[in-house]
Amino acid sequence: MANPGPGIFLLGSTHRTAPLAVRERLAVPPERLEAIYQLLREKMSLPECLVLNTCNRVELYGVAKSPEAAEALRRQLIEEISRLHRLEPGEVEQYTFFKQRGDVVEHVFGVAAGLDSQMLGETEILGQVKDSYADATQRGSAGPVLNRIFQKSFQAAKWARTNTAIGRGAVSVGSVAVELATRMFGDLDRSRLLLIGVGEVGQSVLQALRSRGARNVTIASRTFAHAQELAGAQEAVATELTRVPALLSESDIVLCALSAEAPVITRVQLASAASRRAGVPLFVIDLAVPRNVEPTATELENIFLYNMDDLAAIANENLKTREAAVDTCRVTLADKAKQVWESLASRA
Amino acid sequence: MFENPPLDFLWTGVAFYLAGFGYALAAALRAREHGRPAFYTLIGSGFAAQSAGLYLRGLETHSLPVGNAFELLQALAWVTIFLKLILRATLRLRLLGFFAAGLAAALGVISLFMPSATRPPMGVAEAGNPWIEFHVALAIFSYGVFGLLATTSMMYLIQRRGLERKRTGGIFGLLPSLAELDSLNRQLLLVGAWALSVAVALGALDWVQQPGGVSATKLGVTVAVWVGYLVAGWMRWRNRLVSTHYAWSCVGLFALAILSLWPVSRGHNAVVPPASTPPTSRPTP
Repeated sequence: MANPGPGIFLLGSTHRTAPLAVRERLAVPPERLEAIYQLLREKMSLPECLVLNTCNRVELYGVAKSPEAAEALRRQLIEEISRLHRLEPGEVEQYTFFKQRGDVVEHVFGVAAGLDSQMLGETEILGQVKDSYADATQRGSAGPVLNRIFQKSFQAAKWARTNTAIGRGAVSVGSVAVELATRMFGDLDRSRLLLIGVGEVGQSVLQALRSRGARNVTIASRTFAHAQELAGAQEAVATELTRVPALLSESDIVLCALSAEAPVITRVQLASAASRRAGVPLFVIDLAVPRNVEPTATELENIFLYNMDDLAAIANENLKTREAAVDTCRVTLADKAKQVWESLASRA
Repeated sequence: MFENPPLDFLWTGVAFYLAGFGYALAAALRAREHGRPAFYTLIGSGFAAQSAGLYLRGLETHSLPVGNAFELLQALAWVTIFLKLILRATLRLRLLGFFAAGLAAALGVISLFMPSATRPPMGVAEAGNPWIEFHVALAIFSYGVFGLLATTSMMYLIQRRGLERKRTGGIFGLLPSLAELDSLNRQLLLVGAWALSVAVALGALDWVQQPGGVSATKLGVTVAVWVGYLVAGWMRWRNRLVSTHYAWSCVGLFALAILSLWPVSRGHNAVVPPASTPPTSRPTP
């Protein structure tokens, strides 16, 4: 009879199995993490355990004495989690999934590579998995089985990024804007940014650009107080909307997100700004609908005008590239996971 | 093989440049950056083989191997790769090696199919005169810098085209930014123009002493190329020639400079010297 291998199991809840309202209740805030580890280690007597907690997933990994023991622990774990989160056991059962043995290894590999993420192929998840593993190691909860699985998952994720298109291209409006700005200006730390309007979309793109180093930000709004308020929060400078035409030539990136019936930036204003920039490109992102910038300005030399449709089209194209890579990636990761599992089973 | 060792080495060098270019192209087509160790091994091997070939040709005439259009193109390819390898730490621009390898391979292939490739080598006149040798070396160096400038200008134009057409992915994501390329283009033109100016000044000193030694064609073409780059540099400095116009000018001027090698290499009373006798020609860009 084949060796059944170590009794590794996983009880988890992700965006695929639970709505946001349930995930919010199942989430493990840092102050509750120790309680969860105590539950797994002491109450359930698991020699190895790990908690992976991100915005979209809560996953509890454990190594029982045998696969049969793991199956028996499932009910107990659901009851304990229900009690801890003040949920009905039926609810927890409904919105969670349970995996064992080789399926757990395959799942970890997929998660680390971003295959299971809400935004397919995102890279943050690998950092989060590494952090969770480091935390479990520090608590003395990771042993030979979890060590091998998680360390191998980091290698598998690296393989996927290097050899497939799973992480290629920006797939959100903000990251597309960052990619385009980087292709024009390189490092964004010296780029001057002008945000027109204080709406949510403009703020999210501003945040993406700031995360890549853009520091010199000016914010204009129809209501000066709103510009001041956002500028205070973003360490930026507030200005009147009437000053925008004069600021165009001094800016490298202009984010337009103003709710207006007619364009607020004309082709003539942009032509005038371009003529004073000595050939330096001016990146204009029109996020507003109706548009804030006269569409014919796209014909001007050194003006790179992108609207919401342009950014969305690029993001969708990149997403399709990633989706096309999923099957190849999954098959190879499953192969790699199988090898790791077989090696673990042979040792057990 | 080994019937003409210098030529064999030069063929080998070009083959390595082509291999390096092909290797990087295959990676670029898959929207990936090429592996540096493999790429630089190929380019370095090509550079070593080409150096050996040029050295052996130089030994035959006891002077710099830049006696005809074939040798001039080979020397240009050599300088382009030399600059990329030597200035690797400074010019850390993605895909620059790929484009430089492409240029060197193209120059090498064209040169090897020229009739002058199989003719006996010709040397530089007054081969023992260090100022003339320095003049020639500087002129070739400046043309190499202009070759690199044409390369970075092409990269600028491709990146810009992608942004204008709203194209992402593929090679566009791998190319350096417009700002980096524009900054490098200005520096390369400055370095190249200075080097060529000094070379022209040294050549002029020699010409004043021996006015009949250089033909009017060679003189006219050389001065036209030199003035062309000076004007482009001045206009860029005054912001009158910017972005695409500047990049196209750099590409166009280099094409003109390459084409000028034919009249320049013929613009003297060329005498094919027998091996081991001092040459009498003065073929320089």
